[in-house]
Amino acid sequence: MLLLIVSVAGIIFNNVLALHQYQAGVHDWNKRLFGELKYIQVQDQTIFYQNTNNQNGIIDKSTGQVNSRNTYTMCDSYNYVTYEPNQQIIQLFNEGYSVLAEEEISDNIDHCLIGLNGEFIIIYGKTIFSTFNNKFTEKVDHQIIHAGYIFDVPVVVLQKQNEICIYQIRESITLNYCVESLNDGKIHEFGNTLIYQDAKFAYQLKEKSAKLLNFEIIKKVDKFVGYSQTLVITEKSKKQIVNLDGQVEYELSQDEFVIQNLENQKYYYILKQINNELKIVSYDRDTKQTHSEVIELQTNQLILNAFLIDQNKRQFLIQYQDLQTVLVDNKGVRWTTEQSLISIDTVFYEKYENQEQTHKNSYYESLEKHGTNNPLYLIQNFISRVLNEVKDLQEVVTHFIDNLGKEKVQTREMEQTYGLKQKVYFLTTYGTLLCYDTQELSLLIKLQINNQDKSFRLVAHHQIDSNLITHFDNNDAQPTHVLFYYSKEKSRLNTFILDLQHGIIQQVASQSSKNIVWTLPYRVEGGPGQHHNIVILIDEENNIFTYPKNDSINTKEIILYRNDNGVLRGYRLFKNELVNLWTINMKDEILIIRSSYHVGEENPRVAIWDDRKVIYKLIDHSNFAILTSDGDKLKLFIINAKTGKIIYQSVQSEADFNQPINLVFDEHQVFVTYYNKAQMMFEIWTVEIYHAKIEVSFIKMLENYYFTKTPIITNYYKADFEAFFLQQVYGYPFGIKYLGMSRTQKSLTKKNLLIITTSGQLHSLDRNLVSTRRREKADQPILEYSLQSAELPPYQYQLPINFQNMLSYHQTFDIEKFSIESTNLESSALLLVYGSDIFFTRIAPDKTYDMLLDNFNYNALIATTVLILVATKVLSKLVKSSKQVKQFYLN
Amino acid sequence: MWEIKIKKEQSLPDPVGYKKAFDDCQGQELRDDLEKKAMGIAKGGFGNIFMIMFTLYMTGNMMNIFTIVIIGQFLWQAISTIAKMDQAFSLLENRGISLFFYKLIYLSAGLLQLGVVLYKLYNIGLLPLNSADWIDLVPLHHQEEIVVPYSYN
Repeated sequence: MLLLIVSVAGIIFNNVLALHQYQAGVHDWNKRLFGELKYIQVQDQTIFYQNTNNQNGIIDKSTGQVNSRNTYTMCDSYNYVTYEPNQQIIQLFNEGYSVLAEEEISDNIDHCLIGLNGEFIIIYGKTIFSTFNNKFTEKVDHQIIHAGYIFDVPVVVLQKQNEICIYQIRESITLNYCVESLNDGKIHEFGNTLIYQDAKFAYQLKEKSAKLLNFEIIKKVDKFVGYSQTLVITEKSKKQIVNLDGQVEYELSQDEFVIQNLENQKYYYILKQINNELKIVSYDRDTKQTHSEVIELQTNQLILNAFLIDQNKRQFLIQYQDLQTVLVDNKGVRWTTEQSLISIDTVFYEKYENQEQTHKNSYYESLEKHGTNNPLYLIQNFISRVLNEVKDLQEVVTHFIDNLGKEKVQTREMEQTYGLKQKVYFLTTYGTLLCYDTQELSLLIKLQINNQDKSFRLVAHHQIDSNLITHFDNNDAQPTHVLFYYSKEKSRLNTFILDLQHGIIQQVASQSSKNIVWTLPYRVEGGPGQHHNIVILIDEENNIFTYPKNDSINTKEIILYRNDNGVLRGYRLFKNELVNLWTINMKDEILIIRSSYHVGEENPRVAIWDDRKVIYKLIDHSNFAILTSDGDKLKLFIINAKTGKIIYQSVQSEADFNQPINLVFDEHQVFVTYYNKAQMMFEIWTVEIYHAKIEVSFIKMLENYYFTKTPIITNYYKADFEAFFLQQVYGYPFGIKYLGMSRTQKSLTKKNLLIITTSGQLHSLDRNLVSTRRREKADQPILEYSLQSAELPPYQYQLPINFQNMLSYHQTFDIEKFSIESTNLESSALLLVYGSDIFFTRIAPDKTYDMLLDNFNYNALIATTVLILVATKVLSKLVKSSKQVKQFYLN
Repeated sequence: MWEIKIKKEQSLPDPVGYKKAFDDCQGQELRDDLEKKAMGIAKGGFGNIFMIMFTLYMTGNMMNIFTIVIIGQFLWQAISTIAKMDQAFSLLENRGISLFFYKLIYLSAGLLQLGVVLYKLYNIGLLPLNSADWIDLVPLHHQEEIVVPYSYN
């Protein structure tokens, strides 16, 4: 009895342990980025920043993590204004404790200033709002190009037609003076004054007047050093610190960066990065003496920007040209972070190679070679399967014993084997390639694309066989990444090869070229069982070239289409020439074009079942969808690229084109999201295409697809063929910023809609809920040959929101797009969402049906089994030895 | 050692001077008794049907371990009823009555039981008699041509 109680207690304890170990979102991570810094303000352990994208935020000085972003504008170190973009209400806080003012606004806050009487002045758009007893709210007629201080007096600089005017804000807004200017000038803070500069004029703006500056000197300025009233200028190979009259104070080298001393005018700090060493020089202006110190720092990049954080600790925040940002002080490097991730060009993944799993399974090899249903190899395959299972089991046991007690090692290897843990590569617009582990968020590789300036943009990223590339030291047939960069300014195409195995980026070609319009990966068949992958590039003048060079690209029909300034053109690539197939002049403005073809996707299923009947999706990857705008009308066209025929068109009115609009075309479904002004709600507009054929008899199924092989695709765009186009509109309670589709390895798992909401949440919406096949009423009878579904819930305009499907949980992020990578398990995929924040999670659109949950407690299972075995053995012995049993046998 | 083997199938010829007398009253009575018994065996299967129907109705249309066990048991029972037909009538073989009619009734009872169980299986979707059960025969979509989306720029 005691043993039984112990067993039960053990089981309960293990279950409780399992529940305790379960945590929602245990595989998630996120990284908030501050990007390229423009301005910072330091207060204790907090760095307030504004970046080049005009985002504001707070960086934790001790870790380099962004704590919060975009929710406030600093007035000074103690007072700030917060605003909620959705509610459009601003609140002015004093040291975070009390609300000093509150007002509804329609723009973002541009500035918060403090007046001479301690009065707060908030500027949003063209409105100036003084909070001292709400003294005034004034709308100005001209663009405010700057708001700041001249000798501590708050001023705004307004851009008028041929002049700039300086207004001071005291009791009211009064004009100080105006000076002649062009229309595209910039203002720089310069100590207690301002400097204005455009293509023709340069002024120092003082309280009552403007001083005309030497334009030739101002043209060469790299940096305005306001406190010392000097300028850093670059001329040819020389870099100098000069005063406003052009007198040279200090000579610098090109790669040196000057930081002004914020406390007194006595020092300059000059930073220089050379060969993994950061040199910090302090220059005394009075004695002309320099003092330098060196900190070891692994980078060869030039310094882009640097800020003085703490004078006493000699603490600096440095951003390099690849946006690696470091905080250094006299004790060395405090933290370092890669901020180039704020602008990602492309994301791709690589699976870990698992040594334990590399043995070849002869059963699967045989299936691949002889076909899955080949009766001649039935017995051989059966024996091979059994032997391989035994071998696998043996390996599992050996591995289990080897790693006994190393639970983490086992989990990691398991995750690598099933592709749940991969390497993710980010290629950024700053030319960096960063590789992270999807599970542990550790930087594995960092590479830099050099030899090109900022005018080059990534055109395409593809994979080809590395043994095809000449002059490239890699003989194995592993796929290699090819990157194409194009500069419109220079009309030049650069080609780079990315060898992930050896961590090399190598430029392999640079050629003059017209603008590249199409790039497509192409598989060239070179005989039985032989093929190689190349990339075809076509420019705007229809010149065709390949990388690597290849002449035989005519084995498959290639259809291409493009939007040529509102004219759609379809082409066929034939014998290395582009033949125009069709042209469509679109009357309305084209907003978005989406293809139903997605690179790398498996062949999808055509047939689906509903209440025992079979219906057929009409899938044709040569179809594409176009959204156009006409007034407040949103028009959708589905066009066949082979024929140029518009096979479907429909329209929705009352669309708001100032709000985000999305279009997704997947298999037979088209999804459009837009804001409906009349409904005051975002809507999801679904269009689905079906064959006009429904199968209800299983005998017919056998007849058509077992005894004969009836083809599914027919020329549905011909007049005598009937295709059903169904459409439905649903109201979505949140704002939709971006819409996409989940994806799994074999496309067998249900696909869901993934929505980035305008408030920065990530929502997975069940695709069945936005189906066009939902019947109008619950009690409506379903006809045998109807496409309406008996299984889906009846139609309801407003979609229900299940908050458990919020993949970002309670958190909100500044996210724009996402990238999905399939794993080796059909149920699961890796989802990476990025923008100014990066958020990673694992998704299972139809639950994790092919794996145990993370909270599965192996210990509980083993303990329970052992306890039951022990209990059985002990109890049976007890029973055998009991007096009653002995008596029974005696009788 | 020796043994006597009596083969039921091969009836021996009557001994010399012996003649079977069927036309007497006692023979008729025996024949009636045998027919009554045969009918009892034949109709025995019908008695179960209502019990099977009720039990299967009570199990509902949900798939769970109890449903599977109960349906499996009834299915096995129906099949074994049919399979053991000769065994059921073995005692009445070669007793001078024709068993064809009774076996027919017995068989129909067995088939009815089987039908009830199969109907249940159909209702819970375990019989592949719907077109949806053969959906895997439909080939996947395969695009012949390569279609390249609009410009990357």
